[in-house]
Amino acid sequence: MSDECVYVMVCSWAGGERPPFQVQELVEYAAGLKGVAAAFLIPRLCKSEGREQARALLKNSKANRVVLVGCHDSGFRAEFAKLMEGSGLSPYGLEIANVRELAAYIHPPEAALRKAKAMMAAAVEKMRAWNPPPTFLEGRTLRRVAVIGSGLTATLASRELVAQGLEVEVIVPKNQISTPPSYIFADEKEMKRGHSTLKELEAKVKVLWGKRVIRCEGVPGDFELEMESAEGISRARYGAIILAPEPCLELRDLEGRPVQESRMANSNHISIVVLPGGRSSGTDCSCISPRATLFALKAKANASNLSISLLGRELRAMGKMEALQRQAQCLGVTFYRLQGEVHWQGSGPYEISFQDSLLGPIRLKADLVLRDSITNAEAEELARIFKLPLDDKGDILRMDSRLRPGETVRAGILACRYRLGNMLFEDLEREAAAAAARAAELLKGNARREGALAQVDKEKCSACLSCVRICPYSAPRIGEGGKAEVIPELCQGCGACAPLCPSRAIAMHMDTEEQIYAQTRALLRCLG
Amino acid sequence: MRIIGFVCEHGGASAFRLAGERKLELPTEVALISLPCLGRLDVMHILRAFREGADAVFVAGCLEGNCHHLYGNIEAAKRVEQAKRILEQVGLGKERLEMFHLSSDQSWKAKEVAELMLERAKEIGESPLGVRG
Amino acid sequence: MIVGEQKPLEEIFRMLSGHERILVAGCRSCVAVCHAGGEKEVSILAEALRLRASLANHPWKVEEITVERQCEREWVEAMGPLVKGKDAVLSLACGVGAQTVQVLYPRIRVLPGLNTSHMGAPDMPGVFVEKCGGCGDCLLHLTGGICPIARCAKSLLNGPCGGSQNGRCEISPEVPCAWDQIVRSLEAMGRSDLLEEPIPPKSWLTARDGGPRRTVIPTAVISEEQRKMKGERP
Repeated sequence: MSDECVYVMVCSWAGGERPPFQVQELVEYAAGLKGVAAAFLIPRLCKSEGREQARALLKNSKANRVVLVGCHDSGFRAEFAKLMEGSGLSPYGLEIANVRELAAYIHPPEAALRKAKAMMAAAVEKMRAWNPPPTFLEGRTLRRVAVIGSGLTATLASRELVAQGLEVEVIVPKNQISTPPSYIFADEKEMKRGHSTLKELEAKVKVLWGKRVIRCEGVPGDFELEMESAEGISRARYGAIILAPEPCLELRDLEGRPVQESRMANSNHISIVVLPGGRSSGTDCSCISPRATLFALKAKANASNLSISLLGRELRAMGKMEALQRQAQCLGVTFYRLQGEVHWQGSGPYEISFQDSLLGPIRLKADLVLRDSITNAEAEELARIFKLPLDDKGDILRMDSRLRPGETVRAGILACRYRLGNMLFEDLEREAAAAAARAAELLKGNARREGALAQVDKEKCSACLSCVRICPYSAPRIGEGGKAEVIPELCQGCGACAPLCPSRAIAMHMDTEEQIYAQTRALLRCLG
Repeated sequence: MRIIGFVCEHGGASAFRLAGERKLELPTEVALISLPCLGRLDVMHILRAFREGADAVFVAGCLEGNCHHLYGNIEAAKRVEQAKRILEQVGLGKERLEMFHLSSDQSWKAKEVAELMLERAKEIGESPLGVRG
Repeated sequence: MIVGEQKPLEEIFRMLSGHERILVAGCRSCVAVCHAGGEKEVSILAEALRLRASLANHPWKVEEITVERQCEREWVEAMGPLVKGKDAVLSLACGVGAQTVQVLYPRIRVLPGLNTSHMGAPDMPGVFVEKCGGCGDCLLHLTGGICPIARCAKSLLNGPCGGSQNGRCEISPEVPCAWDQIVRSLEAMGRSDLLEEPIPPKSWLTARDGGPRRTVIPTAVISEEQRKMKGERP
């Protein structure tokens, strides 16, 4: 690496805090390290004035790698990477040594200085061992999203996407959008929002009725979907895909039939008991859910001669639901706190018996017994077609919901959850919005990938399929020559494949073997 | 004593940095090498650390089921087991290597891990390979 | 593929005692696929040897090489520069590869780093199971595509035996009964009729029992005369 030219920039500590050691000593130490062309002390590297100073130093310099020495700030790396790019340098030629958190704050002063020097030496060695990665060609990014689903979630997602300025095609396997039961809406406003969405969208999105996706190929920014319908097979290309499998949110009777709201409004003197869900019913909860409460409230408001009892171990009534639950109580809906199992006899009318934790044994007569449940037929099928794993509850597995909301293991394919415990309209809206926002984010820039990726050396590859099988993102595949290749648009640079390859054919562009060994050597030398 | 800790950016490194922000005191004998994900960890990285003179090595990353890249921590666990077997057979002893799971907010656990490994290293004694010329 | 497993390190250390300059040689073929002797295993074993050498005061100096296929002389010949000066080659290839190295370097001791065991396939990643008995007289067409020589513990030609319990072999609940699988396979393809004709006693001449086998493909043979015409030395 004879052309390596490392610039070290040491932050001189911000604010009124005094560093435990002389920061200037770090600068002098850095200047003496092999490969370091220059070392600087810069006040407030994290602020714009510090960055400007850094930019000025890099301009017209021979520096091609930078080590920053200071504190940890989660946004800082991204900012500085942009600065590097702006200065004509690769954003990956940057290493940050957090001497504040990992040395100054945790050790007594003398030891802290020694540790800081060791960390700097390791960071410099890591940068010396670095080679700029190849830049991959800019891929095509289609700003068109496919939303797959036949219910309200699909339309809500479409609305969000349209608001983001994207072209939307809704692929509906059925011949109409199914309407959810009225009791998922907490109030009139929500109901209006839900129903108006369908009308609003008619002019703005293209709907493909009665089409079922059978195959998905491609990369984020450029997917190809193959669909079948009564008219035959068709294909279309999209930048991102949102899977919105529609949950069936109706309460069901004991035979599994969804309850007919209209039928109840017209009957006299029906007594209804609603049992809680539980894992087998898909709600994962043996509580009285907000949905059950809303159902009771609406039913009672429409037909006051209905007698409705709700059973559950706990009552879930968060936020505005609390007022609605009280309203239901005032209208005469009875809430029982269930203890143990519910037993019933008969086949309509039924005799229900159970234990209430305060009132003791209770016997009820009911014309209709309903069960709180959420089912979904579409999720498993979609997971199969799109080659996505399911989680332990049978829903499409999604990535961390804080860091990567709406994302599945495949980049560019988003999914809305269908099982969320309560599943009210606000939950459907939230899921749809998260997926749509993420899709819009992904399609904002260009589908260009470079830097922190894995690459296969085909000369060495034994085509053993280990990398193909292990990758969480399905990035490696066997290419035309019968050897493995990593699709750059899918690779996330996690590195799980490289140590597994039995022929050491996979190299990482960042955190390379050389870089890791260089850091190891430097640290052990300085620690001793 | 010289102890190297291989940590993942998301779980391990974050927990240690948080320990720093909380001004917890950590043993000076421990230094970290950060990886994008524990899945990046190779048996060779561990063995090389010992050959370069580490007295103990630990691997610290995300809690089971919480790996940002799905199961990098599970992959690392398999490789740590293989490395332990090798360390035992070559005569360094498998106690010099250990794997821990923690989440990014468990700063107290980062301190615990560092102190535990230092204890271990002191119990077993310096690595016979530790004296560098 | 050929499946092998690395010998325990203690055994390898014993084999290497008395040696000094060691070449660890791997192969990118079968043994790489079963994670026993590819470049990765070579590098890890070499590192383990270096650690052991320092700890137990062995004079070992270890170098590494991995070739495309260790059973072919051209590739093994290419190892020449690295083999030169060594007094032992620790081969991580299958037994075939190890022997090929020995033939080409008769004065150097070739040590087997693997226990080569069977011809098999991964039932799932990382789990390699014996599939083919190498009997030289394949009858998979009569057994629904399942080899009774390799997969039946008794190599029965007309099974199952009385030890077949719930589809498992009596030797271990982890081993499926091959004949149970054979019957089910034939049923699935609608050829249970094949079970009605007993398979006659096998001639084991074509198997290992007849001695080491020699297979000649005339169209691939390059004759002495051809070599001379090409100008190759014998």
